[in-house]
Amino acid sequence: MNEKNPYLPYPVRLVEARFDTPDTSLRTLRVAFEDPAHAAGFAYRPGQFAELSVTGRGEAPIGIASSPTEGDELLFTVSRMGVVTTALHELSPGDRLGVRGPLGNGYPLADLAGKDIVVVAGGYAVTTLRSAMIWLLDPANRARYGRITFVYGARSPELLLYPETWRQWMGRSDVDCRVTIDNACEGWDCLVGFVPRVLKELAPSPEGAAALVCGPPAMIRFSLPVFEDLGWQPEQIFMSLENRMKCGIGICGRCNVGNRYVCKHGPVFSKAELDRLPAEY
Amino acid sequence: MYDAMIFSRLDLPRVIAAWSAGRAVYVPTTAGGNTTLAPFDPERGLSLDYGNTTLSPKAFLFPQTECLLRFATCGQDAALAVAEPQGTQKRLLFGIRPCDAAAFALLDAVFCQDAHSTDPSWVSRRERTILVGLGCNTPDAACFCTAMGSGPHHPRGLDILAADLGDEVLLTPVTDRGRALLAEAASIVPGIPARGERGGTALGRAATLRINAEAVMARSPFAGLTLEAVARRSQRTVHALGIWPAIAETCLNCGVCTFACPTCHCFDIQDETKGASGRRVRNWDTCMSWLFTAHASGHNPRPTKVERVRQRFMHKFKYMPMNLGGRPGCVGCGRCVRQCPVNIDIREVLRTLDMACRAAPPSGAPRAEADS
Repeated sequence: MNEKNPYLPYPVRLVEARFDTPDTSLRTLRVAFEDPAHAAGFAYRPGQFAELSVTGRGEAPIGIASSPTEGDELLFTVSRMGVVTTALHELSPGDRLGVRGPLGNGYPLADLAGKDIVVVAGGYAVTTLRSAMIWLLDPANRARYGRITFVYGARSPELLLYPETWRQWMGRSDVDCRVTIDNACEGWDCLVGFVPRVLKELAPSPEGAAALVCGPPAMIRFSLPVFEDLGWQPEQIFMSLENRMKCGIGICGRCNVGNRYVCKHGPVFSKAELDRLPAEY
Repeated sequence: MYDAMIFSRLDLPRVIAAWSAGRAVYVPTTAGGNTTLAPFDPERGLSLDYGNTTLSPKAFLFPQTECLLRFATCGQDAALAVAEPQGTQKRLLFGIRPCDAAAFALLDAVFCQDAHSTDPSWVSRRERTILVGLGCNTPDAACFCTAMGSGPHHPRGLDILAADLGDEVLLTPVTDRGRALLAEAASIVPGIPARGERGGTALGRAATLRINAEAVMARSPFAGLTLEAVARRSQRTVHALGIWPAIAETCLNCGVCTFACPTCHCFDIQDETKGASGRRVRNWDTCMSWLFTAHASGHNPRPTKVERVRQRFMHKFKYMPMNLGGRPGCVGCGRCVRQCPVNIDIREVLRTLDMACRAAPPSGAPRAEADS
């Protein structure tokens, strides 16, 4: 974060961009800091986000899909929804944009050392979980965690993000990678069925474990009871929330859930903490 | 208190004129039925006969519209944002009321939370703005500062507290900055240190005015308002109370309460461009607006006025006390009571809330509940 002025974005350049899905609603942007000193100032953790800034259009909060273990370039996958995200879809490689952050708390990975980690992702909410997975599987970190399980689902194969990355994980012996689509289709070689069903078959033990969950509301609604039936406690489940944001630093007042600001105290909350907050998200 | 000074009321404009050297001084000015803090004009003199400013003075530290960044839209530096310097003018606000100064002290805790959440514009303006408050001798019927931890002659947030004694004015420094300012005035205008018998009389008269003002407020039907029961209930319990639809029923979501409120601080950030240049501005926003929380997807966590009205009162009476060591997010200035077009009275809301919290069934251990 810019130390003198938290509203001033770091200038970055778009290095590479690609549309992830045939309907072009998702676009992954790789950006590089113009000034290497800014990259050092942008020390982030998996699960944090940034305000992407397109001058003249505004800012949008986007989860960081890259892991700090991957170097100084940042990866964001942006869904085209409103004014700013549409502008982000229109940028060309070489164009300048702004990055303000890192913002929020991120996944509590340091606190989870020694545990088995179950990652549950649905649709394009996989972005910050990609970051967490890359970080966990990094040689510098992998030995500090137990079993790592990755469950990821989307409606259809072409809506699954980062296929080359999770296909690579499928070849590793130190991660149980289960990728699923809603309905069977030709040429598909992985699982079929909704994420909660895959999770139920997997039946991860709550013993010395933690879960990182991010996905559409329906996936969350049906996955949480699966965890509960398996004996998981609310303290073991971490979820990442979204709300409309502006300042990103807990001042402008709109992203609160009860007395907590999603931008500052979140976006990652344990289910135990969410159970104490009004369900206003 | 021995470093307080007594000035003749007739000399007060000269004191303010002395302070005007090197800084812009704003004083209460009434015109067309509205009272504002306007630049001091020696020709016009100074009236202390006003209740409070119609709108809160928050705009002096948190302007309604403020440029945060500037950028070019074309050329080599296109899209490169540059921070706009903020709050470079030295100012003195004379005659702000203790409730509004308490609001500034409260907002310090919002705009300057920690190293990551410090608003540079607020800090810059706060540092350059000296506050000389005037104690209220005649609080009006909508005032309820004493129920919100403040009081008609309360010094919190001020540099100097002034008491209007009629023929004289007692200036009591609160901060070192106020002490220096008082010395500055005393070097130009003859003042009497409030010591000895003479000082005792003035201090006694000021104390009587304070006690009388507090006594007026103690007779208000809302004098006994308390947040104790709200504090004992969990935020989930308060949120789920059945009182909110009835409270919100007449609300128009017009936002005048948030506009006039000295502690409402929510803002929006928007970009504007014109030709080759543009700027990023922040504007006051209001939680009464649907757009305030609407996601780009169309989902809205506060879709109707019931959720929005509940948010405003819970923010002030539950969330802020939880986050700020028990301090409510309201200073009892009464502006929303006076200005609401459908007569929603925040004191009645508070009383309803208090009664509902007392009546709510206990859910778990009281202590543990209040902390969650």
